[in-house]
Amino acid sequence: MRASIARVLPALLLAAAILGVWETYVRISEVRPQVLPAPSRVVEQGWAFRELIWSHVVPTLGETAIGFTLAILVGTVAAVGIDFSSTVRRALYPMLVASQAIPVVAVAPLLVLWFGFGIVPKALVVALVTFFPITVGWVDGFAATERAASNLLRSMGASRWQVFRLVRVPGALPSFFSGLRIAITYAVVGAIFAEYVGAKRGLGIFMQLQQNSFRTDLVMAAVVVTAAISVSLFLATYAVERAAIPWHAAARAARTSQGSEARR
Amino acid sequence: MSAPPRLEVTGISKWFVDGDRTIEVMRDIALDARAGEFVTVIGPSGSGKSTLFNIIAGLEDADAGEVRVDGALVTGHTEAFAYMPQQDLLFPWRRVLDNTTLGLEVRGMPRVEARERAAALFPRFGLDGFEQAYPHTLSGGMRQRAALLRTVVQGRPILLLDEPFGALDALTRMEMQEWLAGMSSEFGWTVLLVTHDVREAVLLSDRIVVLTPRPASIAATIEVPLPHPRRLDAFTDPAFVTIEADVLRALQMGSTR
Repeated sequence: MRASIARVLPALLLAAAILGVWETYVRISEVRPQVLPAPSRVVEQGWAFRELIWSHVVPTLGETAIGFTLAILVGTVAAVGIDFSSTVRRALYPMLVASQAIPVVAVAPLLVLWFGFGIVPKALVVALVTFFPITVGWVDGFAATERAASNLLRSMGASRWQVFRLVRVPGALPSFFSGLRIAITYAVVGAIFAEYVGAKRGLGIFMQLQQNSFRTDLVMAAVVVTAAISVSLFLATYAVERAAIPWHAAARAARTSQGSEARR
Repeated sequence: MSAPPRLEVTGISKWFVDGDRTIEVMRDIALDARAGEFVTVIGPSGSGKSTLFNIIAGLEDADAGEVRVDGALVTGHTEAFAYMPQQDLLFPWRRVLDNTTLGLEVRGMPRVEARERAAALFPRFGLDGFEQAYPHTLSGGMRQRAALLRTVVQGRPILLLDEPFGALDALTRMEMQEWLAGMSSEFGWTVLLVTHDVREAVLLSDRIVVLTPRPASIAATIEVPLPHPRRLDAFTDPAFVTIEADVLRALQMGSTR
């Protein structure tokens, strides 16, 4: 417990220092809150409008969840296809990389044009910005399977599908979770961006409305909430990983401690 | 007419073509093993021992030659062999017991039955009580014994062991060699072992096949008529030392050819 406090202490101190300087500057310079609200005002107003903000958080979370689920499905199917067939790999990989070069700024309005102001364009933007790290995580994980391990399975008479199921998939899970972690940090921002283009509810549209009425403090409150959601989701991937592949953390810890013993 | 040997390998050659050159990996390898015999293939590193093993195991294709088991042609087939690779390849996501049942599971044996079969061997392999442990908690020697258990439990006629103790420290390796000598004479396994450790070869084998460097061919076949089971103190036995010297000489002559 003390160790974990010691680990987060530097981050907390730095954050406190920045907020302190910010607060002091705003009070001394008497800058108008429309331009730069003090942190204390952001918290105070954010709390006062908590029910309104929450009503915008819920749709954003829904879009994120649907889009991210879609990204996991598409990313996994694509990765399995790439792993099983070099033709699929050659056909699909360039397309996947190219999809990441599409500026979301350009494609988001088009999606709204095609699919309306509902949940579909938002989920699609989330999926577009998150499926790639997931696919790459799987593909790299599959490819890292030792040839000797596949040979061992083949010597036992395993089919290609059995090799895939018994060795390649479990071996790729740590790499998949790394991809998942990268992906989830884009997910919420993707949803908010899509809402910015056109939505009835959601944090993106909330920020835009408050911006237009010069409530900079509420814009910032929404930013704080967005960051908190992203950090929580990021940490949640660790919890899911630990539950899904308990052997991984234990095996890694054992390797690291052996390594440090050897260095001593 | 006597029965055919359990394992009969004849005329195995392997080469690959690089542009307009043909590079020979091995030439006309022949060896056999009777049921219950322990045969070792020894050769300098890079001589293609592992390639020969993969060919016999049915994992790689030879360009010439055939493999027979009890007289039946099995070239390119894996069914007759249980194969133990150089690394233990215990999967970190499976408990030790579930690692050892892998071969049975692949074959479609119900999980309960596979577990019963493998678990029955745990005490004899010095793994009693470690059924539910994860592999990273095991010592190097225990991991190797678990890998051997995974090989043996498949119940195949011939065990192929590819440098099984190569990754162990010297003391553990000696301990494991003595243990394997005891186990193989007790269970009467038919074993083909690959190693580059001369002492290991003499301690364990009934017969030693010495390979030359690339392209590998057979430099000598040396019988080891010492009684089983052998213990580590056999190292100092004059008969042991003589055979050890013979194997070394065959290795050296092979490489200065």
